Amino acid sequence: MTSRSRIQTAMLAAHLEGEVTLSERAAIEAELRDSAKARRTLEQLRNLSELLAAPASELENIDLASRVRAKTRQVAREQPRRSRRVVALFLGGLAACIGSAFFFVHRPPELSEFREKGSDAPAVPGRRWAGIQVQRVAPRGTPVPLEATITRDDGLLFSYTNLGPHPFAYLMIFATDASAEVRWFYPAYESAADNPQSIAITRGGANVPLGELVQQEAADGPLSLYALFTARPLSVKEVEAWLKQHGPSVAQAPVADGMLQRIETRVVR
Amino acid sequence: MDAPVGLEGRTDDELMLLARGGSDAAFTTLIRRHQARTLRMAVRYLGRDALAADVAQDTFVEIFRALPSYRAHGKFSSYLYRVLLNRCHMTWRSSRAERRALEYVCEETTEIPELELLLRERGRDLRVALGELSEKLRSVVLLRYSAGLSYDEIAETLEIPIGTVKRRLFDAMTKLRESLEGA
Repeated sequence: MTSRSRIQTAMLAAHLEGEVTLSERAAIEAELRDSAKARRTLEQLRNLSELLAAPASELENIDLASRVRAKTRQVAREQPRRSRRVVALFLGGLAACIGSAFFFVHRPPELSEFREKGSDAPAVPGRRWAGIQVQRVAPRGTPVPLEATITRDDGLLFSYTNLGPHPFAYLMIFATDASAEVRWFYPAYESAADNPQSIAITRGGANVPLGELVQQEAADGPLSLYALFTARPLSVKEVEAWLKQHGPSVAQAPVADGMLQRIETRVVR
Repeated sequence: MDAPVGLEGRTDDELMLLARGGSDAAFTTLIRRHQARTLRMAVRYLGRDALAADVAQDTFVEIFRALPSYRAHGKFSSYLYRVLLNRCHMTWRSSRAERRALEYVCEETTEIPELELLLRERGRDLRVALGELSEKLRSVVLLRYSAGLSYDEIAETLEIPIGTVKRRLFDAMTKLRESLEGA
């Protein structure tokens, strides 16, 4: 094929797409009237685009959604194994790579079950990797990662990661605001007559979303969000009593085998 | 898993956000909405049904796993096809040796109706012609015709200017026609 005929074919392809100027179109239409070869080329290009757009008939009956579901379940089952690799990477100094999106918290070895059982030098370090990710959703807005400030009207979306050789079984998410009021996200706590317990979480889950968008009318000012991961369920009243005793700026979990993550933000008007 | 009434009317971004909130049905609706085009694109790119189905499946699995970090700003198609294209590129490169072996596949032994045979031959010729294109040209032509994306969406997906999209598209069509003419 000569370079002239290549240019002509490219022009015809552009014409087929309606991507030519008025003067180019006039010239192409004149050529199509006069040249059988040009008409044939245009027809070939049209057939070619139709062939490219034709359904992949052999695959039409495939149930892709079921395949994806099966695969995601399989991935979830494999997560605990993968988490050990994550730990190794972290210890290798790659914390920055995985720490940017999630607030992973390392439970110190002195709190591990192994130490509690009296072993001075545990064969396997008792490390747990867990944390929550928080997204802020403004009214009629889309979720964005939690930043330095939120407004009273914002809702919060949470997901959690619960990896490591000894993952946790339960989670509570709550906040203390400028008026020292405790605001509960998980579990839901709507009546003083109730005393709900921690929610059960998936062991070995990574980025597991919690389904509800929760809105709390917190007081303006600093807001401390807490994620409390534990091995046994705690009740809302137990935790509120502990907060009352230790003040709103607690840094450690109320139980030895728990882990507390704190995230600071500020409620503004 | 039947999608509740109303999910079909949601935008891709809304479905992604619902899926992030734990709605299996929302993610299923999203897959079904894009299934035909992603499979078509993958099968044209890779030339083999089984590989294409795996790549399309892994694309949605990757998107599912990235749900917590998805940023909804109306560009789901570009995001989907960027993931799909990356997977197609990787699979294409890793299956190079296997493709060469398949070029010597033995002929059909069963009797096939003439029209179907003709369609199969056209499909085979197209597969070979697409395989001869560079990855850059192949991506553009398939995003345009097999996935049905607009120029804007292709430019967004490939992170190139619209003028480059058009030039590559017309160049790809010229080369495909040339290859098919010689087939």
